[in-house]
Amino acid sequence: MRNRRAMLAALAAILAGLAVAGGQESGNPAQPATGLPAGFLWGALIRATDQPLKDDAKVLDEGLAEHLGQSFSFRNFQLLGEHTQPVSAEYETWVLPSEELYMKVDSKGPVSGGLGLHLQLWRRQNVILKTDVVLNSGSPIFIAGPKWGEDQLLFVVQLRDQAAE
Amino acid sequence: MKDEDLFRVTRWIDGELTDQDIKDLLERDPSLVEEREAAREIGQTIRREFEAEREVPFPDMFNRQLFRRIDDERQKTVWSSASRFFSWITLSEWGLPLASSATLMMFLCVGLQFQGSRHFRSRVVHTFTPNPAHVAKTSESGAAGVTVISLQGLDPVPESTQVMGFFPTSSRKESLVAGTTYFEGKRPRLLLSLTQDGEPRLSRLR
Repeated sequence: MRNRRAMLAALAAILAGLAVAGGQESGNPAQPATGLPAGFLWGALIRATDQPLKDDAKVLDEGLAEHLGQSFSFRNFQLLGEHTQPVSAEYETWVLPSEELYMKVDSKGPVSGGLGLHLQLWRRQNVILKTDVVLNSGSPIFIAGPKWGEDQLLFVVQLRDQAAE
Repeated sequence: MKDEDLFRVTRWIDGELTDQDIKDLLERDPSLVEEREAAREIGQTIRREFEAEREVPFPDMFNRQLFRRIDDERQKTVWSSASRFFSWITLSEWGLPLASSATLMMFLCVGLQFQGSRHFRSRVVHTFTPNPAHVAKTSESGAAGVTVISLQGLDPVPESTQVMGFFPTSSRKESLVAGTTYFEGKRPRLLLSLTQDGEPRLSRLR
Protein backbone atom coordinates (compact mmCIF):
# COMPACT_ATOMS: atom_id res chain seq x y z
CA MET A 1 0.00 0.00 0.00
CA ARG A 2 2.81 2.31 0.96
CA ASN A 3 4.66 1.54 -2.30
CA ARG A 4 1.53 2.09 -4.37
CA ARG A 5 0.97 5.50 -2.81
CA ALA A 6 4.58 6.41 -3.42
CA MET A 7 4.30 5.41 -7.08
CA LEU A 8 1.07 7.38 -7.50
CA ALA A 9 2.68 10.44 -5.98
CA ALA A 10 5.69 10.14 -8.25
CA LEU A 11 3.52 9.62 -11.35
CA ALA A 12 1.36 12.64 -10.53
CA ALA A 13 4.41 14.83 -10.06
CA ILE A 14 5.98 13.61 -13.32
CA LEU A 15 2.77 14.23 -15.29
CA ALA A 16 2.44 17.69 -13.81
CA GLY A 17 6.04 18.47 -14.66
CA LEU A 18 5.67 17.20 -18.22
CA ALA A 19 2.59 19.38 -18.68
CA VAL A 20 4.52 22.41 -17.54
CA ALA A 21 7.56 21.53 -19.64
CA GLY A 22 5.41 20.84 -22.69
CA GLY A 23 3.85 24.23 -22.35
CA GLN A 24 7.25 25.79 -22.24
CA GLU A 25 8.56 23.79 -25.20
CA SER A 26 5.65 24.56 -27.49
CA GLY A 27 6.27 28.28 -27.23
CA ASN A 28 7.25 29.49 -30.65
CA PRO A 29 9.01 32.70 -31.58
CA ALA A 30 6.25 35.28 -31.54
CA GLN A 31 5.22 36.34 -35.02
CA PRO A 32 3.90 39.78 -35.68
CA ALA A 33 0.54 40.51 -37.20
CA THR A 34 -0.14 40.10 -40.90
CA GLY A 35 1.57 42.69 -43.05
CA LEU A 36 4.56 43.15 -40.79
CA PRO A 37 7.93 41.43 -41.47
CA ALA A 38 8.22 38.03 -39.83
CA GLY A 39 11.98 38.25 -39.49
CA PHE A 40 14.72 38.80 -42.00
CA LEU A 41 16.11 36.27 -44.41
CA TRP A 42 19.81 36.42 -45.14
CA GLY A 43 20.91 34.74 -48.33
CA ALA A 44 24.51 34.39 -49.42
CA LEU A 45 26.38 32.99 -52.41
CA ILE A 46 29.61 31.37 -51.35
CA ARG A 47 32.51 29.96 -53.29
CA ALA A 48 33.94 26.85 -51.71
CA THR A 49 37.50 26.25 -52.77
CA ASP A 50 40.73 24.59 -51.80
CA GLN A 51 42.68 27.49 -53.26
CA PRO A 52 43.94 30.19 -50.93
CA LEU A 53 41.79 33.27 -50.92
CA LYS A 54 43.03 36.60 -52.21
CA ASP A 55 43.61 39.36 -49.71
CA ASP A 56 40.65 41.39 -50.93
CA ALA A 57 38.27 38.43 -50.78
CA LYS A 58 35.33 38.94 -48.48
CA VAL A 59 35.50 36.56 -45.57
CA LEU A 60 32.67 34.92 -43.75
CA ASP A 61 31.60 35.07 -40.15
CA GLU A 62 33.88 32.74 -38.20
CA GLY A 63 31.09 30.52 -36.88
CA LEU A 64 29.55 30.12 -40.30
CA ALA A 65 32.93 29.34 -41.87
CA GLU A 66 33.49 26.67 -39.26
CA HIS A 67 30.11 25.07 -39.94
CA LEU A 68 30.78 25.14 -43.67
CA GLY A 69 34.14 23.50 -43.08
CA GLN A 70 32.44 20.73 -41.13
CA SER A 71 29.77 20.23 -43.80
CA PHE A 72 31.88 20.37 -46.99
CA SER A 73 35.29 19.03 -47.87
CA PHE A 74 36.74 22.39 -48.94
CA ARG A 75 39.33 24.39 -47.09
CA ASN A 76 38.27 27.95 -47.82
CA PHE A 77 34.99 29.78 -48.26
CA GLN A 78 34.65 33.13 -49.99
CA LEU A 79 31.61 35.34 -49.74
CA LEU A 80 30.65 36.34 -53.28
CA GLY A 81 27.39 38.11 -52.50
CA GLU A 82 24.81 38.55 -49.79
CA HIS A 83 21.38 40.05 -49.45
CA THR A 84 19.06 40.44 -46.47
CA GLN A 85 15.36 40.88 -47.04
CA PRO A 86 12.44 41.20 -44.64
CA VAL A 87 10.17 38.18 -44.80
CA SER A 88 6.64 39.35 -45.36
CA ALA A 89 3.76 37.31 -44.07
CA GLU A 90 1.72 38.34 -47.13
CA TYR A 91 4.01 38.86 -50.12
CA GLU A 92 6.82 36.98 -51.77
CA THR A 93 10.37 38.21 -51.32
CA TRP A 94 13.42 37.95 -53.53
CA VAL A 95 16.89 37.39 -52.10
CA LEU A 96 19.46 38.39 -54.73
CA PRO A 97 23.11 37.81 -53.85
CA SER A 98 23.94 37.10 -57.50
CA GLU A 99 22.51 36.59 -60.98
CA GLU A 100 23.79 33.01 -61.02
CA LEU A 101 21.86 31.82 -57.98
CA TYR A 102 19.09 33.71 -56.22
CA MET A 103 16.00 32.84 -54.25
CA LYS A 104 12.29 33.51 -54.09
CA VAL A 105 10.81 33.31 -50.60
CA ASP A 106 7.21 32.84 -49.57
CA SER A 107 6.22 32.75 -45.93
CA LYS A 108 3.96 29.98 -44.69
CA GLY A 109 3.68 31.39 -41.23
CA PRO A 110 4.90 30.22 -37.86
CA VAL A 111 5.05 26.50 -37.29
CA SER A 112 6.30 24.33 -34.50
CA GLY A 113 10.02 25.01 -34.20
CA GLY A 114 10.28 28.14 -36.28
CA LEU A 115 9.04 29.91 -39.40
CA GLY A 116 7.66 27.92 -42.31
CA LEU A 117 8.94 29.07 -45.68
CA HIS A 118 8.58 27.96 -49.27
CA LEU A 119 11.87 28.57 -51.06
CA GLN A 120 12.61 28.51 -54.77
CA LEU A 121 16.24 28.52 -55.80
CA TRP A 122 16.69 30.04 -59.25
CA ARG A 123 19.65 29.62 -61.51
CA ARG A 124 19.46 32.33 -64.13
CA GLN A 125 16.05 31.78 -65.72
CA ASN A 126 15.30 28.35 -64.25
CA VAL A 127 14.06 27.03 -60.97
CA ILE A 128 16.41 24.29 -59.85
CA LEU A 129 14.97 23.62 -56.41
CA LYS A 130 11.66 24.05 -54.63
CA THR A 131 11.71 23.30 -50.95
CA ASP A 132 9.58 23.73 -47.86
CA VAL A 133 11.63 24.46 -44.77
CA VAL A 134 11.23 25.48 -41.19
CA LEU A 135 13.81 28.08 -40.35
CA ASN A 136 14.83 29.14 -36.92
CA SER A 137 16.88 32.15 -36.01
CA GLY A 138 20.57 31.44 -36.11
CA SER A 139 20.24 28.00 -37.71
CA PRO A 140 21.20 28.17 -41.39
CA ILE A 141 20.46 25.77 -44.23
CA PHE A 142 23.21 25.08 -46.73
CA ILE A 143 22.46 24.30 -50.37
CA ALA A 144 25.24 22.77 -52.41
CA GLY A 145 24.95 24.17 -55.93
CA PRO A 146 26.79 23.62 -59.18
CA LYS A 147 30.47 22.98 -59.55
CA TRP A 148 32.55 25.88 -60.81
CA GLY A 149 35.80 24.48 -62.09
CA GLU A 150 37.49 22.90 -59.08
CA ASP A 151 35.30 24.94 -56.78
CA GLN A 152 31.64 24.75 -55.87
CA LEU A 153 28.95 27.36 -55.40
CA LEU A 154 27.00 27.20 -52.18
CA PHE A 155 23.85 29.05 -51.26
CA VAL A 156 23.21 29.70 -47.57
CA VAL A 157 19.92 30.86 -46.07
CA GLN A 158 19.47 31.96 -42.51
CA LEU A 159 16.64 33.59 -40.61
CA ARG A 160 17.74 36.59 -38.64
CA ASP A 161 16.02 38.80 -36.11
CA GLN A 162 17.59 41.98 -37.40
CA ALA A 163 18.30 43.42 -40.80
CA ALA A 164 22.04 43.59 -40.28
CA GLU A 165 24.12 41.48 -37.92
CA MET B 1 -4.94 38.31 57.36
CA LYS B 2 -6.87 37.88 54.23
CA ASP B 3 -5.09 38.41 50.96
CA GLU B 4 -7.31 41.32 50.21
CA ASP B 5 -6.48 42.98 53.49
CA LEU B 6 -2.79 42.32 53.00
CA PHE B 7 -3.03 43.98 49.60
CA ARG B 8 -4.63 47.05 51.18
CA VAL B 9 -1.97 47.22 53.87
CA THR B 10 0.80 47.02 51.27
CA ARG B 11 -0.72 49.85 49.31
CA TRP B 12 -1.05 51.86 52.54
CA ILE B 13 2.62 51.30 53.37
CA ASP B 14 3.56 52.43 49.82
CA GLY B 15 1.55 55.60 50.34
CA GLU B 16 -1.19 54.80 47.84
CA LEU B 17 -3.88 54.60 50.55
CA THR B 18 -4.44 56.94 53.47
CA ASP B 19 -5.05 56.02 57.11
CA GLN B 20 -8.70 56.63 56.51
CA ASP B 21 -8.80 54.05 53.71
CA ILE B 22 -7.75 51.25 56.08
CA LYS B 23 -9.32 52.59 59.23
CA ASP B 24 -11.05 49.26 59.85
CA LEU B 25 -7.77 47.38 59.66
CA LEU B 26 -5.95 49.84 61.92
CA GLU B 27 -8.70 49.54 64.49
CA ARG B 28 -8.38 45.78 64.34
CA ASP B 29 -4.56 45.78 64.51
CA PRO B 30 -2.88 49.04 65.69
CA SER B 31 0.60 47.46 65.34
CA LEU B 32 0.32 48.04 61.62
CA VAL B 33 1.57 51.58 62.22
CA GLU B 34 4.85 50.27 63.63
CA GLU B 35 5.21 47.90 60.68
CA ARG B 36 4.79 50.80 58.28
CA GLU B 37 7.45 52.85 60.11
CA ALA B 38 9.84 49.90 60.01
CA ALA B 39 9.25 49.37 56.27
CA ARG B 40 9.86 53.07 55.58
CA GLU B 41 13.10 53.01 57.57
CA ILE B 42 14.30 49.99 55.61
CA GLY B 43 13.48 51.76 52.35
CA GLN B 44 15.39 54.88 53.38
CA THR B 45 18.39 52.79 54.42
CA ILE B 46 18.41 51.01 51.05
CA ARG B 47 18.13 54.26 49.15
CA ARG B 48 20.89 55.77 51.24
CA GLU B 49 23.31 52.91 50.78
CA PHE B 50 22.67 52.13 47.07
CA GLU B 51 22.40 54.46 44.06
CA ALA B 52 18.90 54.63 42.66
CA GLU B 53 20.17 54.77 39.11
CA ARG B 54 23.23 53.04 38.00
CA GLU B 55 24.85 53.32 34.64
CA VAL B 56 24.85 50.07 32.65
CA PRO B 57 28.44 48.97 32.21
CA PHE B 58 29.51 48.99 28.52
CA PRO B 59 26.07 50.07 27.21
CA ASP B 60 26.91 49.46 23.53
CA MET B 61 27.95 45.93 24.28
CA PHE B 62 24.81 45.48 26.28
CA ASN B 63 22.66 46.47 23.28
CA ARG B 64 24.64 44.18 20.98
CA GLN B 65 24.22 41.32 23.38
CA LEU B 66 20.54 42.05 23.65
CA PHE B 67 19.91 42.10 19.89
CA ARG B 68 22.05 39.02 19.41
CA ARG B 69 19.94 37.19 21.93
CA ILE B 70 16.82 38.30 20.07
CA ASP B 71 18.23 37.02 16.72
CA ASP B 72 19.24 33.73 18.29
CA GLU B 73 15.71 33.26 19.54
CA ARG B 74 14.32 34.01 16.08
CA GLN B 75 16.68 31.52 14.39
CA LYS B 76 15.70 28.86 16.86
CA THR B 77 12.07 29.40 15.82
CA VAL B 78 12.92 29.12 12.08
CA TRP B 79 15.04 25.99 12.50
CA SER B 80 12.36 24.49 14.63
CA SER B 81 9.81 25.00 11.86
CA ALA B 82 12.21 23.71 9.19
CA SER B 83 13.10 20.64 11.18
CA ARG B 84 9.41 19.91 11.66
CA PHE B 85 8.92 20.20 7.87
CA PHE B 86 11.84 17.91 7.07
CA SER B 87 10.60 15.47 9.67
CA TRP B 88 7.29 15.36 7.81
CA ILE B 89 9.11 14.61 4.55
CA THR B 90 11.07 11.74 5.98
CA LEU B 91 8.40 10.27 8.19
CA SER B 92 5.28 10.75 6.07
CA GLU B 93 4.26 8.10 3.52
CA TRP B 94 3.80 10.72 0.84
CA GLY B 95 6.52 13.13 1.86
CA LEU B 96 9.63 11.43 0.50
CA PRO B 97 8.14 10.31 -2.85
CA LEU B 98 6.69 13.77 -3.48
CA ALA B 99 9.90 15.51 -2.53
CA SER B 100 11.95 13.19 -4.76
CA SER B 101 9.57 13.65 -7.67
CA ALA B 102 9.51 17.41 -7.20
CA THR B 103 13.31 17.52 -7.25
CA LEU B 104 13.38 15.37 -10.38
CA MET B 105 10.83 17.58 -12.11
CA MET B 106 12.74 20.68 -11.12
CA PHE B 107 15.86 19.36 -12.83
CA LEU B 108 13.79 18.27 -15.82
CA CYS B 109 12.19 21.68 -16.19
CA VAL B 110 15.51 23.47 -15.81
CA GLY B 111 17.00 21.17 -18.42
CA LEU B 112 14.16 21.75 -20.85
CA GLN B 113 14.32 25.46 -20.18
CA PHE B 114 17.97 25.37 -21.09
CA GLN B 115 17.20 23.25 -24.15
CA GLY B 116 14.42 25.52 -25.19
CA SER B 117 16.51 28.62 -24.80
CA ARG B 118 18.86 27.31 -27.48
CA HIS B 119 17.75 27.71 -31.07
CA PHE B 120 15.88 24.83 -32.65
CA ARG B 121 17.70 23.49 -35.67
CA SER B 122 16.21 24.54 -39.00
CA ARG B 123 14.91 21.63 -41.00
CA VAL B 124 13.85 20.71 -44.50
CA VAL B 125 10.32 19.44 -44.79
CA HIS B 126 10.12 18.69 -48.50
CA THR B 127 12.20 19.13 -51.65
CA PHE B 128 11.35 19.04 -55.34
CA THR B 129 13.49 19.56 -58.42
CA PRO B 130 11.48 20.56 -61.50
CA ASN B 131 14.18 19.15 -63.77
CA PRO B 132 14.05 15.34 -63.51
CA ALA B 133 17.78 15.19 -64.20
CA HIS B 134 18.41 16.93 -60.92
CA VAL B 135 18.23 15.26 -57.55
CA ALA B 136 17.97 16.96 -54.17
CA LYS B 137 19.30 15.06 -51.20
CA THR B 138 18.95 16.29 -47.65
CA SER B 139 21.38 15.41 -44.91
CA GLU B 140 22.32 16.53 -41.45
CA SER B 141 25.84 17.65 -40.87
CA GLY B 142 26.28 16.09 -37.48
CA ALA B 143 29.32 18.03 -36.35
CA ALA B 144 27.94 21.38 -37.46
CA GLY B 145 24.35 20.63 -36.54
CA VAL B 146 23.28 22.07 -39.88
CA THR B 147 20.90 20.80 -42.55
CA VAL B 148 22.44 20.48 -46.00
CA ILE B 149 20.60 20.12 -49.32
CA SER B 150 22.85 18.69 -52.02
CA LEU B 151 21.76 19.26 -55.59
CA GLN B 152 23.10 16.60 -57.90
CA GLY B 153 23.07 16.49 -61.69
CA LEU B 154 23.47 20.25 -62.15
CA ASP B 155 25.43 21.50 -65.13
CA PRO B 156 28.67 22.99 -63.88
CA VAL B 157 29.39 26.69 -64.25
CA PRO B 158 32.05 27.08 -66.92
CA GLU B 159 35.39 27.87 -65.36
CA SER B 160 35.76 30.92 -67.55
CA THR B 161 32.50 32.41 -66.35
CA GLN B 162 32.86 35.37 -64.03
CA VAL B 163 30.35 34.80 -61.27
CA MET B 164 29.55 38.22 -59.93
CA GLY B 165 27.89 38.71 -56.60
CA PHE B 166 25.89 41.59 -55.23
CA PHE B 167 25.50 43.19 -51.83
CA PRO B 168 22.19 45.08 -52.05
CA THR B 169 21.46 47.34 -49.14
CA SER B 170 18.16 48.89 -50.25
CA SER B 171 15.50 48.67 -52.95
CA ARG B 172 12.92 50.81 -54.67
CA LYS B 173 9.79 49.76 -56.48
CA GLU B 174 9.59 51.10 -60.02
CA SER B 175 6.09 51.87 -61.24
CA LEU B 176 7.05 52.48 -64.88
CA VAL B 177 8.69 49.12 -65.45
CA ALA B 178 6.76 47.17 -62.81
CA GLY B 179 9.92 46.04 -61.15
CA THR B 180 12.26 46.71 -58.27
CA THR B 181 15.66 48.36 -58.36
CA TYR B 182 18.26 47.17 -55.88
CA PHE B 183 20.98 49.49 -54.69
CA GLU B 184 24.42 48.97 -53.20
CA GLY B 185 24.57 52.09 -51.13
CA LYS B 186 23.41 54.77 -53.53
CA ARG B 187 24.47 52.89 -56.64
CA PRO B 188 21.72 51.00 -58.52
CA ARG B 189 22.98 47.52 -59.35
CA LEU B 190 20.05 45.28 -60.22
CA LEU B 191 16.59 45.54 -61.67
CA LEU B 192 14.17 42.72 -60.98
CA SER B 193 11.01 42.59 -63.04
CA LEU B 194 8.42 39.85 -63.40
CA THR B 195 6.72 38.68 -66.56
CA GLN B 196 3.01 38.11 -66.72
CA ASP B 197 3.70 34.47 -65.87
CA GLY B 198 5.65 35.47 -62.80
CA GLU B 199 9.04 34.65 -64.28
CA PRO B 200 11.80 36.87 -62.91
CA ARG B 201 13.97 38.97 -65.16
CA LEU B 202 17.19 40.14 -63.58
CA SER B 203 19.06 42.96 -65.27
CA ARG B 204 22.43 44.23 -64.17
CA LEU B 205 22.56 48.00 -64.08
CA ARG B 206 25.74 49.81 -64.93
